[in-house]
Amino acid sequence: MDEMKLEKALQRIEEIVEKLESGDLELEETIQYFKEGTELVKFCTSKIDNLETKITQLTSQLGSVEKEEN
Amino acid sequence: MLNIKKEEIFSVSEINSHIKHIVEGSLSTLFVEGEIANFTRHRSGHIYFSVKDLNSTLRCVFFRSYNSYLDFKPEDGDKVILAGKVTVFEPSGQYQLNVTKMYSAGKGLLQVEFEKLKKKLLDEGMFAPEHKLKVPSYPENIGVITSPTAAAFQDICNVIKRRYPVNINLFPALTQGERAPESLIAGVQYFNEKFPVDVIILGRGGGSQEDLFSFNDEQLAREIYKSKIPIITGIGHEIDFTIADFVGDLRAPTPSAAAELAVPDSKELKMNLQEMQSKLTMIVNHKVMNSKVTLSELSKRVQAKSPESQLQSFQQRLDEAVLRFTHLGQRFTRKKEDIESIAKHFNS
Repeated sequence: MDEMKLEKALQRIEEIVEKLESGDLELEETIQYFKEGTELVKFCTSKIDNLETKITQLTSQLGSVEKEEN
Repeated sequence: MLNIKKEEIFSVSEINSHIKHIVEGSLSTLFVEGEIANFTRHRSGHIYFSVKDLNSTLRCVFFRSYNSYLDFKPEDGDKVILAGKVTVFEPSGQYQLNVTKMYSAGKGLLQVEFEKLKKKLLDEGMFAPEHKLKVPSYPENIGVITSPTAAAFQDICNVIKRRYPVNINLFPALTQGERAPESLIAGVQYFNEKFPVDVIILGRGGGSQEDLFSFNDEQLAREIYKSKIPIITGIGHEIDFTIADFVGDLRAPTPSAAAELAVPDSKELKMNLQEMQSKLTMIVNHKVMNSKVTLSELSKRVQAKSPESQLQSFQQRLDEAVLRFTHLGQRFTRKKEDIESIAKHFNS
């Protein structure tokens, strides 16, 4: 799941909630979806919590190849 | 006698109407430079005047609905640039320039160039909504093309760090002066060819119209149009519109606003996620509770069919049968006694 993009994960969560809300699932399926949904919510939350800005200055005719952190 | 057929002779109206069609059909909106003469503002609010150069004069009409946007007071002798359409007034057979905009020639030149280019690119379809790229909702790498020393870049960084801290890649560019367009073009090319990012912010802080003019460059417009990476423009202030804004994929009024449009708000995102989690939990709890109720009903029904309860009901039926046999036996005994007593009677 590490490779999964945030956007995909968020879409999948929406899908799962919609499926569950439709209500005509077996108990076992419901629990399966619940597990998947909960894991995805955790995944997205930690992905957002772990975001970090790195500022990179590229080279142009203006010069300098510096790299500064935050 | 003239040797001409009647059908070959035109009426005056026909000639004027024909000329009107030719003139108005072949001349689209155009720009004319000249000097104002015979300037009259009619009571109706319409303005009538002529523009002339050394050799010629052109009659002009500037209707109220257009002249109300005039930002200076024109007078006879003023050099102006006019935008408008040539129209023919059929009753008098005279043609005139129907003015839609008037610029003072000195400071108006930039504006005229701008309008010209805007019209040209618009006609080419370069501002078409269908061509605009969708800006990604959750970018991971953001490209910024702006001056490295200006406040605009700091503003962009601050907004991104606060809302959704992802990587910022700055292509340092000149944002004013003669070489600025070239350097901005290099930025768009660099991200498209050498350093892929999810979205590009093209920004510059506020300035005079002349300062922002680098963003009205035709080649820059074409480069933005060609870009495979969506471009958000944030140039100048709310009121400033440049050609880059028109051709870009999404316009923001300022550099900070461009940054806001480039990234989602992580606080909001996390709140939504929490909401999703509680929805999930609620639905599952509900489902589990429903299942428990169903289960207890089912177990009642199953118990009713269990071997014990079936045995019990057999037992009961057996008991009943035994009882009925006993009754029958008793009745039989009584009958037997009756018969015996009758037989005794006969025998005696």
